[in-house]
Amino acid sequence: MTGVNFIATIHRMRAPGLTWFRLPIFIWSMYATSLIFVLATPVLAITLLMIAVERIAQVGIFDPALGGDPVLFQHMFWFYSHPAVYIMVLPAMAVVSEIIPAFARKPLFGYKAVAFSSMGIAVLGFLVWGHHMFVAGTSIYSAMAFSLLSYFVAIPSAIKVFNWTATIYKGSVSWDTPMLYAIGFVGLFTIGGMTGLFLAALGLDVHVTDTYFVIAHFHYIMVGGTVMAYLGGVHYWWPKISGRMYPEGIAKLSALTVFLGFNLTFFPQFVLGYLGMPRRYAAYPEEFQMLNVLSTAGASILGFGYVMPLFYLLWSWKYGKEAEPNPWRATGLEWKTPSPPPKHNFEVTPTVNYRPYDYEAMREELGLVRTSHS
Amino acid sequence: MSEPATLELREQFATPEQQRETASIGMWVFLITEVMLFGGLFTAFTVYRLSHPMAFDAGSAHMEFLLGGINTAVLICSSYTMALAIHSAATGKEQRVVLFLLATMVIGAVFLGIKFTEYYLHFQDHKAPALWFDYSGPQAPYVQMFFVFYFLMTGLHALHMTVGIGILSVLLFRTLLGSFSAEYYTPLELGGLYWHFIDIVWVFLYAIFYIPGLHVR
Amino acid sequence: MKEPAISIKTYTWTFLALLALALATTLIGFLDLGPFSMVIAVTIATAKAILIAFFFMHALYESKVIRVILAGGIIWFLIMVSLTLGDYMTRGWVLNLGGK
Repeated sequence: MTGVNFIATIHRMRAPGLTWFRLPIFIWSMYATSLIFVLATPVLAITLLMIAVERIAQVGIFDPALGGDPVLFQHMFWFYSHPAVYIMVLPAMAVVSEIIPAFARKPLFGYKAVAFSSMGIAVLGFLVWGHHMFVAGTSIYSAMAFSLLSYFVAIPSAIKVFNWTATIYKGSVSWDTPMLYAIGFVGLFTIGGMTGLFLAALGLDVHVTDTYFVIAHFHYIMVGGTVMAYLGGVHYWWPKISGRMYPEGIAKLSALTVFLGFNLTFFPQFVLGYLGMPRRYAAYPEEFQMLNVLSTAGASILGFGYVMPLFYLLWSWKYGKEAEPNPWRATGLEWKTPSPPPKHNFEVTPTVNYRPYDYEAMREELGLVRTSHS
Repeated sequence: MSEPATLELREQFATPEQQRETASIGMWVFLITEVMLFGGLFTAFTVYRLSHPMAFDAGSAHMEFLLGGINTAVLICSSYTMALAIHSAATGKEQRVVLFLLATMVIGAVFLGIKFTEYYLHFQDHKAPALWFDYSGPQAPYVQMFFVFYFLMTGLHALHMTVGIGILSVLLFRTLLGSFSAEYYTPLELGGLYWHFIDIVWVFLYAIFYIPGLHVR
Repeated sequence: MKEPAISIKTYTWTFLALLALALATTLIGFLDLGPFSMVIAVTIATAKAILIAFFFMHALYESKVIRVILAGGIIWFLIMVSLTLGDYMTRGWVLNLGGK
C-alpha cells in the first residue's frame, strides 16, 4: 500500500514546476523502492499462503516429505527476498545522495546517472535471485545466467559510488555528523558491494556460501551501509523533525564509535568465512576462537555507539538548541518550511522553478558566505 | 485553498482531472500487485504441470466442464454489465447505474453459487485434498497436486469475487445516496477496474484447469 | 459532462467477442493437440484478457503511465515465470566443456 501511495503521489501530485528532473534524488530512490515493493511483496505473500495451506492441509507443495519441491520454494522465496534487500538499501542511498551535496556545498555529480541508476537497481535486482541458490540443485545453466546478471546489478551501484565521490571532489566540505555517516556509508558499502561480486562468482560461492563470509558481506551493506545512512539521515533531519539541534561533539564521537566498532565486528568475519567457519553455528573449533572474540569485542563497541544517539537525541528534544528552518544551509523544499513543519507542511504550496542542488545559484538565498578562494 | 474541499476536488489536488488520474494510477498499481500475487501461483502451477503433464491432464479430466464453461460465460456477462454501469455513470444516468450494478452483483453471486456447487461435487467425487481424496490411477500424488492448485487458485479467486461483491454493494449504496454524478464517479470506475481484473484472472484459470481435460474424456 | 470515450456499441462488440473466444477455446479443447493444447488455450485466454483490459478497463484510452504500469506488471510476471522455468527446463542438459 505504501508503494501504491508513493508511486501515485510521485506521478501526479508533485508541486507546480516540479518536473521529474527537478526532483531530489531522494524521491527518485524512493520511487524505485516503491516499484520494488509493489512487484516483489505479493510473491512473498502468496508463497507464505502456500506454506500455510501446505501445513494446515498436509498436502505437499514444497515439502519433499509430502511430495513437494523445495527448490520451487526457494525460487519463489528469493524472487521476493533479493529485491527486498534493494528495498532496504535504496532509501539509504537516497539519504546519502541528499547529505553529500548538502555538506559538500555542490550539486550532486551526474544527477541523471544517479536517478537512472536507482531505476536500474530496481529492475536488475529482480533478475538475480538465483544467486542464493547456486548450491541448491538448480541447473548449471541457470546458475551461470544468474551469476552473469548478478555482475550486472553491481554496475548501477558503482555508478552511484563514483558520483558521490565526484560530488565531494573540489567541494567545500564540512564534517558535520551527517556527513561523517554518509562518507562512512560510501566506504563500507563499497566493501560490502565488492564482496558481493566475490559471491556472485560461481566457483568462489561454492567455497564461501553459508559461511561467515556471506554474513560479513551483507552486514557491510546493511549495517555499514544502510544503518549508517539511517543514522546520518536521523541527524540530518533531526532539526527539521524536532525543531532542536543535537549536540555536535557527542554526535561525532558516537559516529566514530559506530565506525570503529562496526569494522572490528565484521571484518574478522570475512576471514572466518574464508577459513571455512559456517554460519548459524554456536559452537566452533579452537582455531576460530580469536577472530570470534575480536568480533564480539567489536559488537560491544558498536552497541555502545548505537545507544549513545538514543540518549543525546532524546536529551536534545527537550534541552537542545532551537533550530532554525535551514540549519545546514541546504537546498530542498523541506528546508523552506519551519522546524518542525506545520500540519500542512507548507503554508502556501511552493512553486519550483529551479534545478535541484543548485548551490551556486542559491548562494544568496541560503545565506552562504562567499569564500576568498575558489 | 480558498474553496472548501468537496468529493470532486479534494484539498490536496489542483484539478478534478488530476484527482481522477491519481486515483486511477493508484488502482492500476494495486492491480499489478494482484497480478504478482496470482502470478506466483501460476508460476508454481506451471512448474508442476511441466514436470508432470500426464498427471495434470488426468486431474483436469475430472473437472466439471459444463459448470466451468457456464461460469466463464457468466463472468463475461458480469463484466459487460459492469462496463455498462460505468458508462451510465459517465452519462449521468444514475438509475441505470443502480440497475447495472445490481445486475453485476447478482451475476457475481450466481458465479459463486456455481463455484461452490462444483466444490461440493468434487468433494462427493472424492477429489478434495485434505478432506476426502481418493484416486486410484497412476501418479496419484501429482493428481492430488493438481487439485491442491485447483482449490487454492479458484478459492483465492472466489475470495476476491466475494470481496468484489462487497465493494459493489458499497458502491451501490453510495450511488443510491447520490454521492456520484457525471462529473465524479471515480469510485465506480475503480470498482469496475477491480471487477474486470477478477474476470481476467478467471479467464486464465479456465484455460489452465478446464481446457486440458476436455480431450482426455 | 465529458462524452465517454467508449460507446455502448464498442462494449457490446467486446462482450460478444469474449463470448465467441470462450466458445472457441472450449471447442478447440476437445481436440487432442498434445503440448500445443495448453499453448493455444493460454493464447486465447491472453487475447480475451487484452480485450477486457483495453476496452472494459479503458487501458487503451488512458494516459501513457497506465499503459506502462500494465505492461510492467505483465513483464514482471513473465520474468518470474521464465527465469524459474529456465532453471527447470535446463536441468537435463549436459554441460560439455571440451576436455575428455
